[in-house]
Amino acid sequence: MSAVVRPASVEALREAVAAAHASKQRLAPVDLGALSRVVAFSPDDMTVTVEAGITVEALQDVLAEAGQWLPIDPPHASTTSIADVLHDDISGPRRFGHGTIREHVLGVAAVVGDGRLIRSGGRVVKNVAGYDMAKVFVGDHRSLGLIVEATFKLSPRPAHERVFTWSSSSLDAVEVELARVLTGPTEPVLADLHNSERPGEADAVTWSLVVGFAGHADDVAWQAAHLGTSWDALETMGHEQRFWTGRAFATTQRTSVLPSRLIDHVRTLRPGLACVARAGNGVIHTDEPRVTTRTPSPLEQRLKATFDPHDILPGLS
Amino acid sequence: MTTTTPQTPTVPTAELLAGLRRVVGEAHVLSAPEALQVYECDAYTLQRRLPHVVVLPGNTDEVSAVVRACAEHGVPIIPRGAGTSLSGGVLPVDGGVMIALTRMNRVVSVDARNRRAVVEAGCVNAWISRAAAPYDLLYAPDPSSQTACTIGGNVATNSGGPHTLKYGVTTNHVLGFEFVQADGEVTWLGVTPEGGEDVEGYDLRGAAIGSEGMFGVVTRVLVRLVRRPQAWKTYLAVFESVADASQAVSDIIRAGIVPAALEMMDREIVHAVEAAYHFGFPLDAGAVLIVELDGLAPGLDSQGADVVARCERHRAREVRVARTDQERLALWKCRKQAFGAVGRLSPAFLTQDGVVPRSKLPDIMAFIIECTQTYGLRIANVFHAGDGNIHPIVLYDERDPDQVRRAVHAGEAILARCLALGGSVSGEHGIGVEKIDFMAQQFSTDDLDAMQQLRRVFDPGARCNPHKIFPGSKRCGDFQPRKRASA
Repeated sequence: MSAVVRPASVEALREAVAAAHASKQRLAPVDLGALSRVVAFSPDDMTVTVEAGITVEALQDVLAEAGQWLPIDPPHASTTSIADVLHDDISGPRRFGHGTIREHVLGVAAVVGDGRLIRSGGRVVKNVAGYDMAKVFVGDHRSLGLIVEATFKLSPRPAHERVFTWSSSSLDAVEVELARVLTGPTEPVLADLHNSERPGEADAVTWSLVVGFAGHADDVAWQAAHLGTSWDALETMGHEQRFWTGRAFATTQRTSVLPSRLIDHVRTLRPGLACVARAGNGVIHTDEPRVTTRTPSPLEQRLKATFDPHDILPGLS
Repeated sequence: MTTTTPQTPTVPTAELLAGLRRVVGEAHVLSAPEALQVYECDAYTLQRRLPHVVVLPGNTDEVSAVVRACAEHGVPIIPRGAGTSLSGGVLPVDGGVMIALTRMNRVVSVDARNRRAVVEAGCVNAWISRAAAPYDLLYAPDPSSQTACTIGGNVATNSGGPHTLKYGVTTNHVLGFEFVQADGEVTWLGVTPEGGEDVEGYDLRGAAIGSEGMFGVVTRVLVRLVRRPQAWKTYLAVFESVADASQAVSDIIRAGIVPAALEMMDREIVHAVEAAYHFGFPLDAGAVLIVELDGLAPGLDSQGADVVARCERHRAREVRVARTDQERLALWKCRKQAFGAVGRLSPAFLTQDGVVPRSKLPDIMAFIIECTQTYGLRIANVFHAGDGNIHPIVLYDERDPDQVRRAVHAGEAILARCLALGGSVSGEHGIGVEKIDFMAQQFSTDDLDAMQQLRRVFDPGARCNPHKIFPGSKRCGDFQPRKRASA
């Protein structure tokens, strides 16, 4: 097994990829730890350009000093890099309010499978010059190229956030309450369903909804009041931490259904299987290894062959 | 790699024409010169060229059959929506078969629970929000041409609009679409109407949005709907100068306020709009800002007070608030029809589209004022200030060739300055044929080669809407604007 590639510069990475391409050898796993600078942060423009090896936590710390953030909240933020988030399309509970990473990316620079450095997009918040090539690298699992730099649109950090929970052993009851919240006048930034609360009886399951509001203090207070007294305030997102402890996002099974069919899907899960669902989005993470059975479309296969002709990068999965 | 393979201009044969007539019916194939006239250009009128034939299919099967027939004959295809594009994106440079999607204009279904709608490609943007209104939902991207432009065209150009400051552009709201590839094959890219929002595999949807019709023909679109805001607060702030208004924009953004829209109109535009719509704009103002806040009602008052204070800090002479929904809509009507009102100022005008980092707005506005002197032309400005997306409108008389040249040069100088300030030569109108020369300034050869390669993944023969975007593309013979009556 080959060692890990730790390029000290983009040029060094280009050389490593070009060498693998020339010899038609699989590229060893790449550690971008040395490429982790904030290249440009312009609070007045609410944009940031970073080297892709920076961790989400390190980036958010820098942005927080100016009262801003990149509105994503992946698990393991202290060890997850921006490259990870982009290539594996990693998301967290607040995707309900803010969307996933592809909604925030303005441009990327990537070394593709034949060693070329390609830039697309730009550093301004609106830009339609040229094709939106950045999109093909989002969720590509590093099969087309390696992102080395990315520019994002930022948001103001919400002044206030409050999170509430509501539990029941009945999925029927959960379905009714969830529909009430999602079709009511409030605008939650997160709406999760999980089964990590341990009930008293050994074989019973407790289902918990977790809903959060963020923004202006008056808005948050109004929405909290609207939820009603059957909901309890939460200090931390414990369920999220519990689920992801010992689990990696990219290798954990994720299922996506129409939001209206979420509860029906949850009913089909094996009893006792740990899960956390982004209930507002219809996305369910379950404690199972990720399996994919799909065959890439002819278009996808052509795209892969175009940018990684010698198959030196991971396969399209 | 960068140069497009030269195409032999292929005139549709009688056999192909007969085939097209069989597919869509006699009435839906236009080939008489007077019928083709409408299709000689889009809203970029400096270059014109007739397509050989225009086909108006009625459904996806017909589109597929038309595209397949053109593929068999090696004829270029040019997908077209309403033709409101401002950069020559649908100009039939080499002629060819234009596929107009305007008959396919239905809202197919609205799924209120999942906040989605399926619409045909030729559906007019504003009709989506109209169909969603009974469910208190709307389609967020709202180009100024929204009562005419189609969703298929919006997908092609990744259109924006005033409310994209808060809500994002087309790519943030188009979940997936049905798509006829250049060989006639029908496929669906992105989220399917019955599918979940996370799609495995490459984001070909995202790659194709904004590809200016060069990847294939969009036939059906799944859009995201957003909730109609509970409340609005819409302000009209009056400033002595564009510079003061620009500073107010920066201040509002820096404060962490995300208005739904933040739009500027300068003195020229205010005069044109006031003459057309009699809204009551102050004619002696240097600039006016429209600031719209939306969302939940409880927090809007204090945010609104903050906006007013920041405008006043930058010497706003007056800040009015729309008191009724009618007042708010009247204000937006003025803003969105501002381009139309420009016809009152000048017989012809060139609408530019460029982007700078928001903090560079005062710099680019100062440069535009300088350009009015350098080129001896009036330039009116109405634009998305919150996004740094400028729309200088260069006024000229198209009967005077020297003015035409100066207008084009002024536009180019402004775009070059946008690039120098770290911006882009297009925020929402696209490159089309108009801005081809700027691509090599904004991107490297490797970047452009990669884009060409991406295009050939979708369309190996480069037959779909050819001669757009890329340097080295074939041009229309002469750059010869024709005389035309006042707009």
